[in-house]
Amino acid sequence: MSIAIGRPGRGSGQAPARFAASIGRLRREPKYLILLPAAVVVAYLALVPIGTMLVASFQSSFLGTGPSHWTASHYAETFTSPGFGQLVTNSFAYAAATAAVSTCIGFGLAWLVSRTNTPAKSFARVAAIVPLIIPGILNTVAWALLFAPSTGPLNSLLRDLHLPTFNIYSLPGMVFVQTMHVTPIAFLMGVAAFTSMDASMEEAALSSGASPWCVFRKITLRLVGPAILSAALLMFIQTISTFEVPQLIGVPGHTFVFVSKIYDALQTFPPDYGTVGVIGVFVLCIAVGGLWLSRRLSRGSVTATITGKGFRPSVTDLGRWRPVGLAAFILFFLIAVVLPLVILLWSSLLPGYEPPSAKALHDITLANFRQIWTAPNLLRSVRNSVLTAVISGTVVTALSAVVAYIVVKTRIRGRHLLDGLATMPIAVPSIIMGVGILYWYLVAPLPFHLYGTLIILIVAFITISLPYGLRYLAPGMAQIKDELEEAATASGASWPQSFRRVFVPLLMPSLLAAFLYTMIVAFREISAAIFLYTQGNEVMSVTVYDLWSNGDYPVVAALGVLIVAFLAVVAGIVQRLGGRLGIGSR
Amino acid sequence: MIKLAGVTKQFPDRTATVRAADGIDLEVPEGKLVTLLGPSGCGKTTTLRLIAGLERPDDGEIHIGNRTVYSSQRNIYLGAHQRPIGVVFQSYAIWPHMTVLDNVMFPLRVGRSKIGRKQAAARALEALELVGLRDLANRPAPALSGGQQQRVALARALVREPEVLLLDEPLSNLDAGLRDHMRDEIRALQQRLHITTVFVTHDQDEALAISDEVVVMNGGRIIETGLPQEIYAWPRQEFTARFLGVSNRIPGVVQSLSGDVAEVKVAQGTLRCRACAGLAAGDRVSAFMRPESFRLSRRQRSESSWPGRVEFSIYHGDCWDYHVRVGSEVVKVRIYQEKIGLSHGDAVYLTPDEQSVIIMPSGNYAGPARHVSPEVATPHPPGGLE
Repeated sequence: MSIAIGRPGRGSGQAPARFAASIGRLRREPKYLILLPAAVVVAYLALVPIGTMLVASFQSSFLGTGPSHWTASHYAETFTSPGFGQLVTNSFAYAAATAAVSTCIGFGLAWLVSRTNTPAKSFARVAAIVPLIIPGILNTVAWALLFAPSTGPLNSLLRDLHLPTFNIYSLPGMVFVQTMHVTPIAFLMGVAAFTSMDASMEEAALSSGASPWCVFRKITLRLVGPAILSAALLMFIQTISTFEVPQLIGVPGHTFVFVSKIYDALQTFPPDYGTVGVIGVFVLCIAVGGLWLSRRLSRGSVTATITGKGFRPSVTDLGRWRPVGLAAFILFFLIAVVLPLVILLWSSLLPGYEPPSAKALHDITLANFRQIWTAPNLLRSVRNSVLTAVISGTVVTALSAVVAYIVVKTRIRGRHLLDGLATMPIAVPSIIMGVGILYWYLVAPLPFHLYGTLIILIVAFITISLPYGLRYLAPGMAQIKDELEEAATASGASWPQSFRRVFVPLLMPSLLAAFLYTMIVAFREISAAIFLYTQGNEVMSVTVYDLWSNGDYPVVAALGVLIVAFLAVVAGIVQRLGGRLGIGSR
Repeated sequence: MIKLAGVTKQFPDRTATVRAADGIDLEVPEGKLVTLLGPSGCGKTTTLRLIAGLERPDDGEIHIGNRTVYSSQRNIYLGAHQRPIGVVFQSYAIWPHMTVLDNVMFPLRVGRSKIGRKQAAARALEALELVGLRDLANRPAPALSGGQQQRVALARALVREPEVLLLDEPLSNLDAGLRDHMRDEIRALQQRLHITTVFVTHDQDEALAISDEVVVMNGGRIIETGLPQEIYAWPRQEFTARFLGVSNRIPGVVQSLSGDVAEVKVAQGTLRCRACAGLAAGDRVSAFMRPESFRLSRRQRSESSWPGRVEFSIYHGDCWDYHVRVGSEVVKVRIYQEKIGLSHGDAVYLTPDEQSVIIMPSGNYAGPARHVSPEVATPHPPGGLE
């Protein structure tokens, strides 16, 4: 079997071969000696899990004891199995609805911030981004508490108002919770799209006699249209591939989607690796297709208008609607940030879960926090999380800096392939990444064993956050004009010198941002970690899930409060550091 | 001092390979300032970058001083950081994360001839003194105006005392008044330091004013090389003539030659003008005339005046531009120091200044003439690489 599994390894070996054309340059320009190994690492990280997954889907008994042969029977079985149609419908409905709602809200808020004179913009910015630092699992847990069928405070409120209660354990419930989680990303994409659009385009329409509403419809929306679609597709992919909402919200309500089906198939005994592989490949195809479309849409649309000189985004006067703009942000902030955090804090202070009331105030205690402090496995998972997040954040930042350099600043043949490889993990649902990595390190004939160590988690986190690091660094690098680096070379600086003395300092704000973001991504990650952790190597997200499954809600809440506090502090520090190091007057 | 032989550089483009430099042979004598002049996309910036080592040629040889910095045959290539050069970039490329002094000190603190911080600072201040910015040494670089950034870039390029100074359209980002001032300053500095300099520009006035020698380029090739006054007064190629603003071309036939004077029959009359080399009686030629080398009058003053009619006029303040129809041709005329001006339909007489007529054998298209007239189909995508 190891022969069959050897395939993905060889697949990753193709990348250096693709760079063969550039190898001749190695001797001439030593910098390629530094760039090439990074490319190989990226290719390995990106291709191995997917390859393993593909192989598994075509093996009659993967990871089994008996002999295994090539077969397509898993595909036939899975696609014809009863309930597969329902599974597809559920998954698409869930992801599409989430994508639509979160993109609308995200771009709406983005438009308010970047194109109108809505008051308190800096608050608005923070309000829209802060939900990013709340890990998805905590967001899910908080909403499950808020809308708990009988005891949830929001459902009690609805009952008091004689309104029908909201059943969160349903498809709409899943959409709602996931929307709360992904909207900040849509917002950030929206801000980027709106601010990069030259205002003179709108002004030209206005001065042609078009009404503001007409300008919005015919010019603004058209120009931003591709970006909107591109963002919606990304939200779709993100949604179809994450673990926490389908598992925590969907499964109790018997709404299965791809991700929860995969988890389910792995929990049965013996695990149905074939079905996992097939659904994995299926989801992978959807995600790759969506991503490809998304990138095609975003290319050459809004980005083309960035170039204009004297560029500045215009400000639309909201007039007497200004307070409405502010209200939109306050409402969003309340729903997406305040409510979940308050319920977490509230539950963390009570010995057992109670809905908020004056009577419950007497029971307030710090016992849950004390329990975290005293339970050795909880503390250990905190330490593991910090360790893995920091290490993978550092590695990803360095690695994606090199990749971004190759893609943006060199003309090496094959650089677009490398860009594609490094972006690929975004199209690979984290759950598949987790399973693929698990399979690979279980069966690969490697001289070392990573399964059962923290390193396998770090490998997974690095792979998953690589595209995010790249998305931060590639534009940051593109901003640094070639001439700045050339001026250093022409001043007699060797490549390492000009890289260190000119490039890195100019890139510092982007590097910090990339580090912060990838660290948070790694810290929040659960979809892959849930398959890769072993006893003693749990990370916090996994611990939260375990505690939740055991019904230990108050401890979950206490842990959640600590996680959010920690992430907020990290984000604050890096933000401030970035502000000081950033080149404000540029 | 700088010598290029058969230097070629191609850029793969999406549709076709662009020959940005197509067999460039060029020599820049020691201590001279040579300008590469041409329209955008002509290969002048590429040539400069090839000298600097910022691009690697595909073929040919480049020598700086007595060193070979590139040779395709002997497989020699020195990177930009190994060449004795100073470069001023079009955008100045002042590093925004450093102070003015740090920017200028940088070349002394990197590379092989690294010197101590104190010594470097002293020399950087000297260089800043040279460009009159000593007082701003401790400012953060982005706090400077365009003209000041330009000077910092110049100081940074000179601080290492390079053998060669390379300037890539250094004045194009400045506003008009400052541009002339900086141009004169660069020239004065260059002559004082006696530094071999290559200056890239698309502006003919700039090129004529600053150079010891002008190299006209188009389509990745050198069209013509000469002293500024030669290039201006007696261009040998139609492209040069057109690019330097000689906009009237009148076909004719050589009637007779005596010494270096040729008598050329054109539709409007006969021109007695300076002959060019290799001309014989009966040759078909083109007579080129600048708009300035005509006189206009309402009455016929001499036999050789051409009757015409004003079709179009533009007032520029210090001069008037007219389009005058003479027979089947429209002649562009520029008249200085005239207050009243003529208007559409006025009958006039044109008197060409025969001394400044430039004669070239017909069909003298040196190099591809794709930038000469817009009707000619462009084989390469316009714009893009220079």
